[in-house]
Order: sequence, then structure tokens, then C-alpha cells
Amino acid sequence: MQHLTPGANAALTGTAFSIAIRHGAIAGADLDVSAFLVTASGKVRGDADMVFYGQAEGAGGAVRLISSAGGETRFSVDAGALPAEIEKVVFTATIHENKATFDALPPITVELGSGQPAAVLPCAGRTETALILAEIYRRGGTWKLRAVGQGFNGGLAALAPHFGVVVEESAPAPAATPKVNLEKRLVDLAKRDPELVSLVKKVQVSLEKKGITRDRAKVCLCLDISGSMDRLYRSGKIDVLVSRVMALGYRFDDDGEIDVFLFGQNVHEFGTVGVDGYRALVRDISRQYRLEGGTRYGKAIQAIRAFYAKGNAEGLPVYVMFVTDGATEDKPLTERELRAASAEPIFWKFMGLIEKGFFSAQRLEFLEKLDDLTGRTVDNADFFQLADPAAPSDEEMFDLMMTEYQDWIAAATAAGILR
Amino acid sequence: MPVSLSKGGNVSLSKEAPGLTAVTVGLGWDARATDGADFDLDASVFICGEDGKIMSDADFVFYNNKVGAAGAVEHQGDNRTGQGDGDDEAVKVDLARLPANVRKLVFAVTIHEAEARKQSFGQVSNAFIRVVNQAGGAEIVRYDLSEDYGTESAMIFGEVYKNGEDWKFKAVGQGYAGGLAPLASAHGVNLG
Repeated sequence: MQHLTPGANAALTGTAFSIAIRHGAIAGADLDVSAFLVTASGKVRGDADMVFYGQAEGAGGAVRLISSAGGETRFSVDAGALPAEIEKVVFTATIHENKATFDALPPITVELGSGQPAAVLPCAGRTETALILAEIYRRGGTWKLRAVGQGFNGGLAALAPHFGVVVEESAPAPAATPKVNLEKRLVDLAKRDPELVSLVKKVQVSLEKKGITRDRAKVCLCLDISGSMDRLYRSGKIDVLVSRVMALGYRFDDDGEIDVFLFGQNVHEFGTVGVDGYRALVRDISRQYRLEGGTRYGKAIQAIRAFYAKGNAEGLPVYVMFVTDGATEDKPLTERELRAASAEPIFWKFMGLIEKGFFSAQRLEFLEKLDDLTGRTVDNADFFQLADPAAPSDEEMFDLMMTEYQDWIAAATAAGILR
Repeated sequence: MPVSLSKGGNVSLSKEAPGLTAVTVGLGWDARATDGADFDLDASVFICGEDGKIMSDADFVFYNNKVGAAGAVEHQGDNRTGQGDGDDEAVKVDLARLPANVRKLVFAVTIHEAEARKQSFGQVSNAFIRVVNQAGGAEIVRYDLSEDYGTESAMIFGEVYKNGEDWKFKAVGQGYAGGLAPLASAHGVNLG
């Protein structure tokens, strides 16, 4: 195999190329490999000509990001299918948030398979955080590979404009354009947590189905830690539930975080959980708290109300996912609290994790009563029952989670509770 | 219409531009767009006799010795005048005034401190050499080298040579590893 050092070029055979870029990994820093499809001017035609983790295809699939794992990123390039105006496909590596330089890596290789040349880019001594690795380019009706090995100290933010890609400064979310902002956040999240991104997209489908246009809300997860929940926590099913609430929180939330409360005999303000912490939430809860002998909804509702009375200066809607497996011991307080809360911008979604069986009817009865509680300013609560919180599909779950929410938004807005 | 040559090709300047007496040889490359040490490229000319070597050290024209062949070859230094649009360096050659024993002018470009800066021609974009008729300013021939280099730090871009009574230009694109020293030695420069 012919090895090209930086600057060297060699002819390629054929027009369909399978590219393996071996770049290794840097502890504590993410490395992303991207491809830019550029014209004779050296620039992309538009943002669609950048193929990266957030956009795995370019030019109708002529360039594809196949995989990125184990220190290796693979692309396919069907040069024959590229539009005539695309002169080059340029492969780059960037270190996310400039957390390291390429100096930390062994040489990066760009291989196109047997019979084709390979580019070898030494990294020792490099100060850059964005590197142009190699390019596949047209030359007299055929295609060539050039090893480049030049880059930028300013990472992707410096590299992208070099190819004509506009990188927008990350700014606080303007309320008027939350969707655009969400797209940007999702692209950023896709590399860290593609599963969550997929869930967030499913939330979006549910929102559209239910005609929910109000884009922002605070999301709260209130979890029952009474002793009877033990089996559910151990089963991993609560983790599934947490992921789904996190996705809702990410889609809705003003800060990409959810507020977590725990209750049994007592109420505990656990704190906020974001995209970095939600997967470990159940584990962290079990390390920090013991399951409690007792179930007191009323106290929990009281604590959550107090929390948002202080912590919601903007008057955003608050969506509370209230998860319990049993009947409460403070029914009168619960009813009083829920009635009082009906004049506040909080929507209560009760999820009863109740299998049909002994006393299930009694346990369900009170939650059903709460759903239809009289004496409230608006209907601020909905209840649904599940035996297994992981059983519904994502889509079914988000539909359940969104049931009655839009009705409440409309009623609360009409009543002047929501602005 | 200027002639565009590829590596190894040649053209008769005298035929392309009848009555030609003086040319400007322009050399160019694109400035570095990426971060890192700038590419500092220097053009030089070897004024060679029959054996392909210089006849005296004065026949090596470069940034420290800008005039050769009794003034018939003049290195313009960094081209800051705008003359010769797009050229980074230019050398004026009065063909009519060149001594009769001059058979060949070799135009080379070297990357200054290439080794220390880990630079090579392959990292320089869009390098070219062109020959312009001083009378009228028309480009006679151009050679784009960008596909013909790789890891070298010194390159012969092209040569203007005498073939009978005609002046011709050849697109050379020959690289030398190790920069100016081996290139100069090959052309008879005594680097002492």
C-alpha cells in the first residue's frame, strides 16, 4: 500500500470508495470526523454539504458517515454519484470544545482499502484542535487522494468557515425561536446521546399529534420511594421511565434539566438532573436514600408547589410527572393541595404503577378521584395506570404523558393562570 | 491564448510570441489558509551554461543576489507592485541581452526552514510558474504544479532554455528533498 505523507497525492482506482479513518481516542476529549463536500471555490454549497454526526449523509447519499466507534470512523463515497460541481470531499477531525490537541494522538491514517493509497498524518507536536486530514478530489476525469495534515487551533469554529459553513454562536435560547434552538441543541446532543435525541424526536411527534404548540415548560419528576417500589427500581424499568421524562424535559424545558423530587413518608428535593446525569439517576437515588415506609402524596404536592412558587419567576407551565405505586396516607391533604394548586401554572400527571390484583381497585380509586376532583379552578390533573412502566412503546408512552396537557394549557390560559 | 503545460511539456516561446525579446517569469502560490507557521517561499534562478551548471557564483540569482548575467536577469524580490497579477515573485529576463554562453535558466522555489517547520510543497496550494511577454504583458505559457509535488521542500518549477536560435520553456516540476542546498549543489553552486 502506498503511504502518502502530508502534501502527497496519488491516483485512486474507480469511483466508489470505502474510507476508514483510524484516529484513536483522547481521554477526556471527544474527537469528531466530518466530511465537507466543496466546489472549485473550496467551499460548500450549503450546510447540507457537511457530513457529520448530526447529518450522516450528503449529496443524496453519495457521501455517508457509516460508523464511528473504537477510534475509527468510516465513510463511503460514491464519487460517481457526486454532483459535477463538487470537486472535493475533504475529511477533517475536530476535538470537541478544544479540550485537547492532536499532539495526544498517534499518527492518523486514512485508508481506502487494498490497492488504493492511504494517507498517514503524524500528530506529534501538533497544536491544532481541528485538522484537515485528507481529500478525495477530481483530477482530469479521475479521482485522487491527497494527504493534507493542516488545521486550525480554534477547532470546528475555525475550520467550518474555511469551508464556508456558518457556525452560529451559541446564545441563550431566544423564546421566539425555540425550535431552531432545539435543532442546534439536538445536533450537539446527538453525539453524546443519540438515544435521547431519538426519544426527543418522538416527543415532538406526540406534541404535534396533540396540537401542543406551547414550546417551553418546566418538567418535574416526582418519584415514589416507598418500600413497595423496590422491585420496580431493581428491574431497571424506572430507568426507562426516567429516560422518557428526560426526553420530555429536554424537549420542553427552559434549561434542559428536570427537577426531581422523591417522596415516601417524607419528601426530598433531590435536585436537578440533566442529560449527563439522568442515566445514573436511579443508581444515585438508591445510594443516597433508603426506601421509606409510607406514601404521602399530599406532602409531596405541597413541597413541589412551594418549590415552583419561588423557582418559576417567568410563570412557565410546569409539567409534573408524579409516579406512585400505592395509595396515599394523606388523602385529605392531597385533595386540599391539588385544589389549591389548580390556580397555579402546574399540571399534574399521575402515573399509577399498579398491577391488577389485591387492593388494586382501592389504590386506583383515589388516583381516579384526583383526576376528576371537584372544586378546582381548572382541571389540573390527569391519571393513567400501568402495570409496567417499560411496557408501552416510546410513542404510546409519550401519547399517555401528553393526554389532557393541551386541554389544561388552554383552560389555564383562559383562566389567566398562564400568560 | 496562453499555453498550459503539464509536467515535462515544453513550448517554443519564440514561436508563441514572435519578436520576443524580454520576459517576466512569474511564480506564485496561495498563502496559507490554515493555522501554523507561514510558508516562506523563495524563488531563485540558476543561469546555466552548456553543462547545465552555473559558470560563476554570480549566476545564482536569489534574494541575496538579485541581479545576474550583467543585468539581463533581475529578481524583482517580493512583488509588491501589482505587476504580474497574481505572482508572488517575479524575475525579469532580457533574453536579447543574455550572454551567448547562457543556454538555460532554471527557476526554482524553496521553502525556507521547511524542515524545522515540517513543511513541504504538498502543503502549498496552487503553485504555478508562468512566462509573460514584457512587451504587452501577455501570458505566453503557464504550468500549474499542484499535482506534481508532495513531500519536497525545493522544486524546480521550470526552465527557459535555448534550442538553436529559439527560446523555449519547459515545465519541470522536479522536487528535491532537503531544500535549497542539494538543489544549488546540483547546479554547480559552491556553498562552501
